[in-house]
Formats: sequence, C-alpha cells, structure tokens
Amino acid sequence: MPHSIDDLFENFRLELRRGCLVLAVLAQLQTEHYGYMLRKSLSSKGLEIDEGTLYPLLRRLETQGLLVSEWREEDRRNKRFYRVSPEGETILARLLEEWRGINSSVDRMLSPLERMEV
Amino acid sequence: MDLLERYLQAAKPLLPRKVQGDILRELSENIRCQMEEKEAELGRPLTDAEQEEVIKHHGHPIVVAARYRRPQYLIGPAVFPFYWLILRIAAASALIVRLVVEVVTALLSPDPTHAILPALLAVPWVLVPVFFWITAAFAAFEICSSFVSMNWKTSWSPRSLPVMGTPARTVTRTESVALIIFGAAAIVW
Repeated sequence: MPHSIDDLFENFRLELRRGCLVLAVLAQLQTEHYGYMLRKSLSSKGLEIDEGTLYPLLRRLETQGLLVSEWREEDRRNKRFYRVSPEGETILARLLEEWRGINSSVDRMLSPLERMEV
Repeated sequence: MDLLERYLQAAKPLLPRKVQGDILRELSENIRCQMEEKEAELGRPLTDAEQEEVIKHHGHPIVVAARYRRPQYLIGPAVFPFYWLILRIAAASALIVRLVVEVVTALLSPDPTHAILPALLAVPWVLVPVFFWITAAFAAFEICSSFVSMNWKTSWSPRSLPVMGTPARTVTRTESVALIIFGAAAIVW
C-alpha cells in the first residue's frame, strides 16, 4: 500500500512518542496527581497528550504495578490520585538511563553531519 | 451534563466488566473537572456546543473503550504466516477431494445429468468446515502458547535449520499436504 510521507511520519512519530510518554508520566507522578491535573501539568511543561491516551495508560501502568492510586476527596469531589510505586521508580531510573544512552548515541552520529552543514 | 451521561453510557458495555464502574467514575470526574475549569475561565455555564466539544475531544466511545483493553487477537503475527499457508493448502486440497468425490458420486447415480449440477454446487461448502477447524486449531494453539511459556522462539539454533540443497522443505510440504488431504477426506466423509 502506498503511504504518503505525512502518514509515514505520523506512524514513526507515534511509535517514538509511545515510550517517551511512559517515561514522562512516571517522571511527573513522582508527585501525586489525578488524571486531568496530570494532563495539565504535562502540557504546561510542553508535552501535550490526549485524554484518550493518558487515562488508559495510567490504568495500564497501575495494573503493571508501576503506579499506585487511591480515591480521595478534594474540593468536595472524589478523585483518583496516582503516584509512582517503588517498582515504578526502579523502572523509571532504568528507562532514563536507556533513553539518555540512545540520545547521546544519536547525537554522536549526527554531530559530524551538522558540523559539515555549518 | 446529559451529553456526558450519554457518552459514558455508550462506552460502558465495551469496557471490561470488573472495572467498568471504576473507569467510568474516573473518566466522568476528569471530564467534569475540565468542564468546570472552563466554566470558571468563562465565568458562565458551558453551552451545549461547548460541552460537546470537550467530550468529542476525548474520542469516540468505541475507541476510548478499546484503549482500556489489552490488544485482542485470535492468531498472532508470529503464527499467522503458517496459519495462512496451511489454510490455503487445506482449502485447495479439500476442494479437489470434494470435487472428485461429488463428480464420481453423481456419475454413478441413476440420473447423472440431473445429479451433476447440485453436486458441483455443493463443492464450495467444504470450505466452511476447513476454515472453521483450522482457525479453531490455530486459535487454540495461540491461547495455549500465551499461558504456557513456549520456548520454540528462543531455544532454536541456526544449526537445526535444514541444510542447503537438501529437499527438507519439499518433504515437509508433501507430508503436510498428504496429511491435509487425509484430513479433508475425513471431513468429506
């Protein structure tokens, strides 16, 4: 099937983002948040994420034991607060190491090219 | 908030039953928070159109509900090419066997000219049980392999692959074709 360059880019972009979103969510949930507040705080740091992606992701990470959650009242409303679990902390540290490793490898590959362009 | 209730109601039957109440409560709370914040910003209640926009941004209920489930499939990508190969061989063999059987039976009947057309029309129906049983068998294999840790993907060695030039592949294919013809014959009878 022929793909337009935009479709291809979109597929690769989503693939690339998927893992990074887990990283971002684990990092941000080192302090406690409920769903909508988490979305806002991620977006205020420049990472936009759809509700339809974020809320199921929180559930999945909780099922996998990387997050813990509890229903609690805030502003006379019940909300489900999430926070990273000790297992989540471990995974976050290891993922960060991996992510930084990949970043610096790619940077090393690109830097000669960029020098040539300059 | 009528629109929100309808949205949640549409997603409900598609969610895993054990957690559906909990998921909907959380989803509803998150959407309400978002709407209230927007109301506070505007200093007035949201119009229907504005509510609709907030809800619409969350995605179609079917899509949203699907994201709360694990990916579901009957036959996984690792097994699918093998399934497809077997299915094609079995379908072709079953059609041939059934065709021969039907034609011979019709020719041997007292009135071959009247018997031949219904006999030919009956042939394609053999595909239904072939498709059903092969799919069922592969689906069963897929389900079992997700419960039992299957080590065939990791415990192989390049040394165990067929040697170049030996007819290993043709032999196995002939064997499987023979097996399937007998299987198909069994279905036909």
